[in-house]
Amino acid sequence: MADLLTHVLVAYALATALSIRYEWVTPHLVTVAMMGAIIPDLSRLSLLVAEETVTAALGVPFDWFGFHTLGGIVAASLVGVVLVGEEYRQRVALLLLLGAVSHLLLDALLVKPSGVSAPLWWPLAAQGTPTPGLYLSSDRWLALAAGGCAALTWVVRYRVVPNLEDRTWV
Amino acid sequence: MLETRRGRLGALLVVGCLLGVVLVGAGTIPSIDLTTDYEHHVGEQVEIDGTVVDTDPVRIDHEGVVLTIAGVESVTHEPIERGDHLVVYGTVETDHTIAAHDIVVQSPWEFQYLYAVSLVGALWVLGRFLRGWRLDVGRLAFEPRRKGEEGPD
Repeated sequence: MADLLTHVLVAYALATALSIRYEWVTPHLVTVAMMGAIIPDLSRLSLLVAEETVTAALGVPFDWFGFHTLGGIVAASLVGVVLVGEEYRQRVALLLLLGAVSHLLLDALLVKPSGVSAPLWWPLAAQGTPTPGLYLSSDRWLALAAGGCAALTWVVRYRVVPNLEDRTWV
Repeated sequence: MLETRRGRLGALLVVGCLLGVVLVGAGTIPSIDLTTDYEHHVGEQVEIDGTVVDTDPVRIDHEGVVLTIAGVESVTHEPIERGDHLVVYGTVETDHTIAAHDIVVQSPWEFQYLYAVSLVGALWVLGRFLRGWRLDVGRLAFEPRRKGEEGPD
């Protein structure tokens, strides 16, 4: 994973940029996108409960990494969709997935000695995809770059756009 | 149908099972496990990680198994110290040795940075969530707080 702050900042930037075009993307929904960006890293629950413990207890294969796959983020997003009222379901589903997919896309670019990413797109594929290896999860410039993007979208959304009342946007 | 507490609890159960199926399914994603039946995998290419326990020769603790990494000098000039985290892509050889093709080295403080910064991110989102959403206990549904409704109920 890239660091979680980077993922959350990128989700913030994407959702805030969307809110420029779509009024219904309120700050509440920007928060939902940021929560979506956290879903894949629920795989870190392996630090609390080892997979072996679960397998030994239940006798089935098990991998917390499931959260860090396409299948996992869809299933996890459904939890969010169930926990809101009818009128918010579609929007919550959309923004949770936006955040979660953005997380997977960023992680698809991580440096891997094998040159191949983790199987992020399971169950569509059991292997990962070739990665250009742009950064390590612990690279410090990531959060700075993401923070810059987030700050930029904030400025455009809350300072620039409100001052352009007389212009029509496509 | 899903607007009552009972309906939601039922739906949560279903979705929870789906999530369980996903996590079990993920356990079947093919991967090479060197902790059991090591000899079976000799000759295969693997990407494994572990913590450095020795530097001369470089040895890592990979999920409880100690593996020697051969050819480190030819793939990286980064100084490797005990406690560093390595990700190694290489060929499995006999004698619990991996012939390295490529290595990524990360020191412990880089992980401390990673976890600290990630915690900041998590707390920021938690704060936004608590300020922006409230739980309607009757319906067991979250809804956005309206303006002027800051703080937990």
